[in-house]
Amino acid sequence: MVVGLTFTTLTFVLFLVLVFAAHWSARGRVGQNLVVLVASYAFYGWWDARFCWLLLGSSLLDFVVARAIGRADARPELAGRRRALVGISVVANLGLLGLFKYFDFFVDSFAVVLTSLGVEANLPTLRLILPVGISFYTFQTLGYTIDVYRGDAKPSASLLDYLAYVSFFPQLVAGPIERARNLLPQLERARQFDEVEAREGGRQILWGFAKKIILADHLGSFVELIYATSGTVHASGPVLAVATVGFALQIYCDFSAYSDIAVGTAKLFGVRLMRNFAYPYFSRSVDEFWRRWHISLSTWFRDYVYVPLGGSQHGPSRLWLSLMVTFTLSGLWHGANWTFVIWGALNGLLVGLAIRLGRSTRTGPSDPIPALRGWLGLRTLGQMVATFTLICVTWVFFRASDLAQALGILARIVVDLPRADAWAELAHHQEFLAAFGPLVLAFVVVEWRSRAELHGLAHVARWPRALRWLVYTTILWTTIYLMPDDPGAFIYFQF
Amino acid sequence: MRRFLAQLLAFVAIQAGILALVWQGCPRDANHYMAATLDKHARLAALDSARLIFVGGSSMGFGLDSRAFVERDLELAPVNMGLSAQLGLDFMLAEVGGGLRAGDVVVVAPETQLFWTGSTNDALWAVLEYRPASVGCLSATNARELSDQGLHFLARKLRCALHRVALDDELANEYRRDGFDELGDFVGHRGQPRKLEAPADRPWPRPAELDFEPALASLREFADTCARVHARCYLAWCPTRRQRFEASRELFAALEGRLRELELPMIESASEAVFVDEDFYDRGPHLTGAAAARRSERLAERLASLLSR
Repeated sequence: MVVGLTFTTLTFVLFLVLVFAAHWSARGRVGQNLVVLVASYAFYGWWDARFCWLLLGSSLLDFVVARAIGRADARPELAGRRRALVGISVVANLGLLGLFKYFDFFVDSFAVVLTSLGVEANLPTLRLILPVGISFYTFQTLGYTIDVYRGDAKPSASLLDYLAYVSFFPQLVAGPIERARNLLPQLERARQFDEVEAREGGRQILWGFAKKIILADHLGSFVELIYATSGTVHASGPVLAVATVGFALQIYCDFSAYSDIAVGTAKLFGVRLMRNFAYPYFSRSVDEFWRRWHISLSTWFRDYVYVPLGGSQHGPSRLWLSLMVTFTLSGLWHGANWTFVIWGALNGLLVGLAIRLGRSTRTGPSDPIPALRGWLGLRTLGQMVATFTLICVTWVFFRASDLAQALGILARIVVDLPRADAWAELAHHQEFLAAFGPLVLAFVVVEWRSRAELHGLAHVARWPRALRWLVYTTILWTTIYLMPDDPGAFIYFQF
Repeated sequence: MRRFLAQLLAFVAIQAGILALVWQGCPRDANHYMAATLDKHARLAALDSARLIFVGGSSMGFGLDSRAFVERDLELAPVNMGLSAQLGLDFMLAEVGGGLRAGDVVVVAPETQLFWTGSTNDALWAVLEYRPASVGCLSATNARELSDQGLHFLARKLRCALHRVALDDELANEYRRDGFDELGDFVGHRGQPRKLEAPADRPWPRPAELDFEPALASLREFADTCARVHARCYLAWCPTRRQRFEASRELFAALEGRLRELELPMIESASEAVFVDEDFYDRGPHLTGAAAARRSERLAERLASLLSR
């Protein structure tokens, strides 16, 4: 009946105040990490206290495994044992994920195959509740043991520090998926309060709060209306196209808002989390998009799947294999549904084509997004629009409830776009479009102007205080004013 | 840290000032729909004789004509506590559970989604604004829901205040406290033409995806309370549109099966609470006056038969 401790509730605000006070009142690393640990398990237990045991079990296993790998490090004759240990971690973490997230999916899919072959199958399913955040923290702990195995991270000497690292509440349920080498050292020392960082954290939280409530939730209601009916398409092509663009913006505002609030919250505790979004919709190619979107997951798959498979170092066929496996697995990570698998594979295909056709921009998340000046600027804009369009096509598979609906939507868009009467159907949604069209446009302008900053409100830090506070107050009350009665949960909670 | 906290407090003080203005801009409205909770509780407390208490959300408020039970001469004074589904099942049960007396008869007909959801929107805040004493009806779950709903309540207050400032007018709303009669039935819509609105029916999940256990536990506890104080308690169903029922047959069957395991006799089956579109007043599960009268006749007859045994 009670949902979790969602970032956009008064409960979270009260929780944050309490934890902030306790954290900075605590003495030294041990005191601070104890506060973080208790707060994080309380935060996670808010969804379902039983899941805390799962989190603890998964954490303990990887702590023990990493320590054992560390002990075997200096002895070459124990290389086999180290491999076996990391294998245990991989099997246990993926097994946990497989059991809770994928078991029923594969059983159901197998049953469909059997039925299509004329074999009546009554296979057992588990119908387990998916523990929130399981995809995130299993990947985080798995990354830790692999890093220790590779020598990229040292095994943590303190169970308390390690448990705080795995469960750190701002990023526990929807990332960023942190690497041990970034987050763990920060928890292995006492944090000092940094006023500038704390202010910046507050700004980032406010920006995330506004994005989620003002844009993501309202766009979500519109998208839900158009995409709602499973397996069927009941809107015209232009309406579906607008809804798909709406979904592209919804998922960005939703997930980047979560990341902003997570990163901002961590800053209040003197912790720097990795950046998760770097204005992905201003990318000039699909591969650049994937370097700017959900960076913590993209780099995770790059480091632990793509590169070990050979990546781009062993010729075109290995490149294609690496890309397709990586992106298909990434799709499957998002959800146990064939729509996600196809979404992942489609992105792999587009990234592969971009690389093979020389359309890859080789631009990283921290590289500047070019200005749009002169003819070159027009070309850049064209590349951005083309990339965004391709990404929107892939979002159809991500958002649709099943393949039939996804294909139906794409077909309807293609067929209807030239038809004037199909465009007329947009008038049914004019109230929503008139209200939120300008807001979306304003948001894109703000994002564009902030593209050299970490988030849309970062540049406000340089303004005079009176103006700053006016901006914060306006954003805060506008967000509260527009808070929907039935706000949607963060999309990535379901993964 | 000290400077940061001082500036943070200054900022919070400004927001508190704005909040005070918002509060002033949207004072309590004596005729607010939720203010009807005062009348319902007043009647519940004032009756000396055995009572016939109806528990549910707005579907109970709109969908019952208590006169049918008076006419049956059951020697029970009806009190329709039905107000809003958004209050959640726990709160609805707690509102009456504490004050039950020997001889009372209770009919519980929660909105179907309350078997797997809790309180939503800002309903708990809204009802507490008018009847702070209802804080005693909050369960631990409700307390968490109340906290979650805080910003929604603030949002509603802000919208109300700005509307008043901009238009010097109250938000148009026909669902008002004075729409309820002295028995607690909502009668403001009786005789009014039906609203031609699409039903507010979001698809429901499959029963395997739902957890009925918290709601069943609340009902079990309520049944125990009834038994302890020698009150008789029964279950009924929320009026359901035919197409909704057809689309969710599996869910209704699963739920009915679980409910029949309780120590709460059912005075109607799920299929008996199915109505055609024309029987509904608006997009919610709100019966028209005529349909409410028909339904009440049937329930009164069934209840009379059960009580005479």
